[in-house]
Amino acid sequence: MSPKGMLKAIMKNKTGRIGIILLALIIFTAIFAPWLAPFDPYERVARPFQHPSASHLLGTNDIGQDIISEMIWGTRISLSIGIIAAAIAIILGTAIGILSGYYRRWLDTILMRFVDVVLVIPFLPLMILLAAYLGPQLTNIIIVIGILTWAGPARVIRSQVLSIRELGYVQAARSLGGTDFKIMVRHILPGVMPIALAQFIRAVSTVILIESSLAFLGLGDPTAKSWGTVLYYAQTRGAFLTGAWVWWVLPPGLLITFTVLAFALTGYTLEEILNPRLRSAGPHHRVFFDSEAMEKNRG
Amino acid sequence: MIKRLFYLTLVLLFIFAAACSPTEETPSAGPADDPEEEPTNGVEAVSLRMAIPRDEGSLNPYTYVTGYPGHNLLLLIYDTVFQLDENNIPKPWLVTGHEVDAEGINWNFTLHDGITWHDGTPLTAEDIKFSFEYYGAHSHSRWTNAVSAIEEVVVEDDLSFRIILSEPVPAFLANPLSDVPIIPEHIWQDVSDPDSFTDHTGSGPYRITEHVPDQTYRLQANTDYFLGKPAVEEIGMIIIEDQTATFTALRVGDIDFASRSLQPELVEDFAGEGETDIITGPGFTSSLLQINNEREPFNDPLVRKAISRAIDIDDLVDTVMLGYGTAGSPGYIHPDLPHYNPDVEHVYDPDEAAALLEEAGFIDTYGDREFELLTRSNDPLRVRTAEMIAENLNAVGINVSVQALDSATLDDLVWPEFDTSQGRDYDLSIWGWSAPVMIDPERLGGLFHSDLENRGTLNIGAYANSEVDTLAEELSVTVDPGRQQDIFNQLQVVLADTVPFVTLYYPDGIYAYRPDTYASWTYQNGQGVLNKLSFIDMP
Repeated sequence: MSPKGMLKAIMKNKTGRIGIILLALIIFTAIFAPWLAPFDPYERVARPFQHPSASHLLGTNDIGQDIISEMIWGTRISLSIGIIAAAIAIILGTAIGILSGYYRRWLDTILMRFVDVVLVIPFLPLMILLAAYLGPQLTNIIIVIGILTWAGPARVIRSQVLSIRELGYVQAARSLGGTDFKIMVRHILPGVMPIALAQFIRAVSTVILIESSLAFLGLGDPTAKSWGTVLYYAQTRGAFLTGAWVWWVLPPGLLITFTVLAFALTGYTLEEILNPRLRSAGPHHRVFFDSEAMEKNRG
Repeated sequence: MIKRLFYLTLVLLFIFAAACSPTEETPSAGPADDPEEEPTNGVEAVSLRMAIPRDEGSLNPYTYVTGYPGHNLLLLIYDTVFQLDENNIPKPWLVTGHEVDAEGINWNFTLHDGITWHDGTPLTAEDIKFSFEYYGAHSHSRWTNAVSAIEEVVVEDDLSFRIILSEPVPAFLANPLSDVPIIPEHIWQDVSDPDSFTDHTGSGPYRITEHVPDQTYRLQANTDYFLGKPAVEEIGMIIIEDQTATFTALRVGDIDFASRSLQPELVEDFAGEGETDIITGPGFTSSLLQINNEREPFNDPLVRKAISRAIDIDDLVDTVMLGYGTAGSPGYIHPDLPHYNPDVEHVYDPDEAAALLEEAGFIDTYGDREFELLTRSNDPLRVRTAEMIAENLNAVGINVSVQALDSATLDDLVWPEFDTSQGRDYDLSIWGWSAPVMIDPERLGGLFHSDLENRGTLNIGAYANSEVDTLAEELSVTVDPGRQQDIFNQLQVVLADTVPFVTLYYPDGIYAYRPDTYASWTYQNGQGVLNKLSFIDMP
């Protein structure tokens, strides 16, 4: 399916439409942050701890930076982190999924047992431990999240590969003497791309959520203005004890929620479109299959 | 790991609380009244509940954990020979006074009559002798070094004793005599491994009646205390690690006092007419911009001076501390200390900074020289300070980027193995020293002396200046107060001129409490309200 066709199909679906619209809004904000934000988020523009006012709609933070500008720029940073880390995860996951599904036998066994192990490791504690161990630089955080979220997608992609490799054109390529590498790249990879894309979209939302949690716990890079970092400063500078949580905690919280929702809705819809099993099912079954899909990808 | 998890749970709980019951969080709604728990009107016995951030072991001289509040709590249970008053002047406490010969070698003391240990045994001069000898023989990071100059303690009779020093100690009455706790000989005489000894029988105004590790302590007033009954009958200490949780508890009345200093942004909410109030005063902890004096271009005093001129310290105090701090003196010494030299003053002048840089030949022609300013990632105030300094320095043409690191990594780069002779690997770093490093003249030498192996044990920037070396050496053996002051004055002038580091500010102590329960706190200058004088009047 072409990307254009995919978009059309998603727009036909009600949930998909909400997802895409939200997504478009968020991406728009990220791209046009410099024009949308009333102030430079790194510049101290007023007294610290100002309540919301006409000039500062969400007040100012603990050193007098404009919170709404931080929110808008935060979109850019949170989104970039999400996309980069998800890309790492999906590239890893796709590579491992294809290798495992294509070669099968012992390689499959080893890789899939490894996936099992990664999936059953208590996820957040490990992440916290690694983030604390590697130090709070943005690159480290991205790598940590990337290498810990590949396992779910790897498994989904492997199962797709299992069915593709038995298809006629793949068998034909093989009987014509195509090398394994060529078959995997030329014939299998295009076949799993749509699924990988759906997985990628879902991974972005997971990553944004994780990065925010880490940053909130003070394990992120406190000098990078992601939404989680804004929350971190709000929490450490007493926003929960004063009334400030209304304009300092809720907005980044809601933004994170909406972004995760946007990616999740788009991802689910896309998956539904791509997976014939889900598509053909009636409304009742869809609910069932959706929850199964969630189960499968929770890792 | 467990701590992190605990923290995470807490965080989740907060999110939950914030989401579910927004009205509870707003100050206007106020805490729920709890008449049953509400204590007395001051006539009956007062019982105080306070929060401390972590467990302090069994709270004897070898097992307490932190400098603050651990040492402060320790000194509620144990006594010292002298006691620092509100202005940090040592005053006789267990003793009636002192006599000293002209050389400062022989010190004579007489104990108050009728002092007993918590178990009823009388406290005698033998206990004093025993304590100093015990600390000399059983290594402890704080006490052993403090008593090292004591050559001998001679017991004249039950109440009188003489301390003979091997060399004069400039502030002998302050440290060790006002710092080192006296321990009972009849309990400690056979203890060979003090680090695992858990007894906490002291002679102080309070004794521990209950300790649940990682949860609570219960302190009971020593009604037989030789200076009278302490003002608070019972102190319950609850361990609350999280800062937000601590002050939430204080607000709703679960505790009456928190040992940790209140964040400046919360002052407005806790001060005033309501159920809580605050007491503030100067703090002797310092916040510094540490400079690696070994590394080019910071090895040039002109460049360091330019850095100091470039930093708007008043803006820092105003923005980061919201005014609850004192601007740093370039001579490092806090303006409220007696040996402060008022002639040295911080100058903020970016133009002069640029001129100095030019004079030093520091020209960043291509704008490609970037320096890293390190800071601890888990301390938001320090990160903010670093961000503002980077702004200041960039404005005068020194290209600085802030790098937040976890504290272990930072310590390892700035102060590897806590041994200054091991070298260092950083350009600039936000740093801070605790109050004792400010008050104790001995340690002042440690901060600036260029002999890193033996004397400059705190000189983490490898600052080297022969004039300062000579002054520091002289200071450590000078007993005459007038001469001491001269040296202090000179030292601060040289420091201001050669800038080993930039002293940014000294955060104020802000302590929140519930005045209905107990309000007679005594603020010991620079060190806060958690001290004996808050519960016992100076004799």
